[in-house]
Amino acid sequence: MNADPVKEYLVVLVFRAVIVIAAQFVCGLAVLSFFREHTLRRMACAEKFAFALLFGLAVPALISLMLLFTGARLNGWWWTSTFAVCAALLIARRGSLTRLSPSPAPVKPLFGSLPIGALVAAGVVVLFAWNIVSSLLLPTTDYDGIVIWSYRLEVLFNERTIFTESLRDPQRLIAQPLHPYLLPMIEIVYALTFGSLATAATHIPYILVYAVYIALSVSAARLAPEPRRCAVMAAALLLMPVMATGFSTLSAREPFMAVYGLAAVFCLARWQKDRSPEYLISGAFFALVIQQIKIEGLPFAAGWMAAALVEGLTTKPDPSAGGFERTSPEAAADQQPVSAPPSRPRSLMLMFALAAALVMLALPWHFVKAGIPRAHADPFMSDYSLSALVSPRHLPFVCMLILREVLFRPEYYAFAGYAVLVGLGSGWRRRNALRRLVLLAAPVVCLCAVAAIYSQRQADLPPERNASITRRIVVFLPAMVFAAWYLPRGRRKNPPHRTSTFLMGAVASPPPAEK
Amino acid sequence: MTNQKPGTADTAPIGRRACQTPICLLAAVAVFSLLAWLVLRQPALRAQLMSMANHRLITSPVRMRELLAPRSVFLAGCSMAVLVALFSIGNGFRRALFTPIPKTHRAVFLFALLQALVAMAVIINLQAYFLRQYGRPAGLVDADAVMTQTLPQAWPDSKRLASVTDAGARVAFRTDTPDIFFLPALSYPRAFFEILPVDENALNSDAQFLRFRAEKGLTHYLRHEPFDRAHPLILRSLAPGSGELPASNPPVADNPR
Repeated sequence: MNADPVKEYLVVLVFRAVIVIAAQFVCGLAVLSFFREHTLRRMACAEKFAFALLFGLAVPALISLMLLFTGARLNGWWWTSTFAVCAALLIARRGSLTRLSPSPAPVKPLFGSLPIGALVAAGVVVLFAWNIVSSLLLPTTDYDGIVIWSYRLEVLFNERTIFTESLRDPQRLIAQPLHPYLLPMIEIVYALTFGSLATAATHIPYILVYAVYIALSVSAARLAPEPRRCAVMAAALLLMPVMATGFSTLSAREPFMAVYGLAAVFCLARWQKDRSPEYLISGAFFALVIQQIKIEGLPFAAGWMAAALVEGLTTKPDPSAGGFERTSPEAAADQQPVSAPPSRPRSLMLMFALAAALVMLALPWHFVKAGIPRAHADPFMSDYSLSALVSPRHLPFVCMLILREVLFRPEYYAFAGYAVLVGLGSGWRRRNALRRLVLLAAPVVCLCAVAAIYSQRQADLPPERNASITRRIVVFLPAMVFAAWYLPRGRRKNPPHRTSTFLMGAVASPPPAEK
Repeated sequence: MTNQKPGTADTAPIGRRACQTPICLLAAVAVFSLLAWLVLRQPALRAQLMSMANHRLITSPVRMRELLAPRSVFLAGCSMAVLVALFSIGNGFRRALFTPIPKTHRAVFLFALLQALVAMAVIINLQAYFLRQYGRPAGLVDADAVMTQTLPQAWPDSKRLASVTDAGARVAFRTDTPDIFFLPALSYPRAFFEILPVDENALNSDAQFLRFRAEKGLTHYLRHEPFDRAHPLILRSLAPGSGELPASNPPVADNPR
């Protein structure tokens, strides 16, 4: 009896997808295996999963991108070799595998004893189901997606180089030749494995990134010191519809950047807490990834670096700032800071080395970009000219535009915009002000850049082009939710109120009889 | 319970305590969903709500609802009610539903509930869009149908162009619409150049165009009229020796819209 060829084909595709995903995960684990034991033991399971996939997606793509910049022809063996090296590294460092395994210690419940967890979980399942269906079965339909990104992917897949007239000839009709190339490199590994540019092949990273977003949101919410803040952050992040639907209905790049942006700010918060250099380096790498995805990532990465510099030079770690609640004695020992706060010269040295590494990784693209002749007819080029001064005449209008976007688009953000405003307006104490500002720096710098772009555009472009602001808000909104609600607060004089423990599930006694 | 402050949830009168239970708050959200359904059904109120973010795209031509559609909000409320009923089968959840929530956490509970409601409504709305537009759920819709719906001119025109030109065609391209990039991007590997002749009826007498033709190896001249669905593509061959050929329109399919 002959087997159904369609079924066979599907089985082969699923098998190939699983192989690539597993290889990327191994690659991420190999990076994590270089983390110190203390740091790994303090990482929750969701955090390890998120970091492994974020590294696994970006590291091989970045290595291949650097090889592509040298002029070599794109080859699937680049990824195969990277994955093989990572697997060898992981085997060589197999001692760290036990540390990479999930921690047995119980973690803080997101909603405590509030009977909302099941409904939130149902919401997340519905969003994730849509994300999977739309990513695998619906084609890219947004303007930039078709005109720029799918086109680039097709060129790379067929011509195997970016040094081709299809991407560089100034007489050709090519929109936006100046965006970086990391995202097509992340997608193309699946296209190369599948041997085609099928939607199901090239959109798999969007599913992985959404899975990472859920894991990161859970980890980020657990980092909040107060149960109420933890619950609000979890609800705002996990149930933000645009992070699941945006890949198909809006644009794929910006939600991708949002996840890496959230990861970068999350790393900064973790670094504030325990000063593990792994978090600082990871955060810097994630900021670099955002910068390599799209041009809006540049202000985000610049804001992140400035914030890390300020944090490194001014503040000290505060182990009392909340974090994972663990009940086992081992876990209690983990609550101690990993290392003593580094001295200022050491901080400066670390920062300088990190900045130098980032610049070295970011520079090749800028050299390549400088070699691309400016297209003679590209009406979109002027939109991104950040060198132009902000037009103050349009700034109030743009501020209102952003506010209206964040508050009155429930179909994209639900009520997360209101949560950001409430979070920003509450919880400020003199002691934590600088730390909050440090966490807010990257998303706020990105917000300012968006405001500058749109205030300049008001004079050049028709008002209907303001609709595209949604995509740019998505880049920094999840990071801003986290920064607004994660509060490394100062110590209180009074002990915490009983209601704080209610959400922790610590109160199980019945209500007292009325007298 | 020695830490209990007077006036908090556990010491409130029974009637008030009942109002502080999750089941009451869930009922409040159900009423909210019903009210939202009624409000969103009124065109005037709906228009006012839409105008609060007046920079949204006008999506009426594609019958896509950007704001939460009334029926979706209502259905999301129903879904949540069904879920609550299902979860209530478990004893723990049922008990929790009738345990009062402290005042400080009611807002958090309501916020999370509303977020879940909106998330479900958004997904129901998107599925409803695909059912209304294509008659099938999103997972079963043909990708070609989605592309034709999204790009009713450029997508079928790119397929027509592919059927009458070689993959290596190098096309001098002219269109009067602002979206000049759709057709070139969709027609890859055909190369599109924006090299405009002074007079497109006398290409052979335009010295600059002839220079570009030789430099870039142009094989065709294409004028794209996306809104003329009878003759959207006016294509001329520029192959050496063929001279200037008369306009040749590739076969035109039925208007997809």
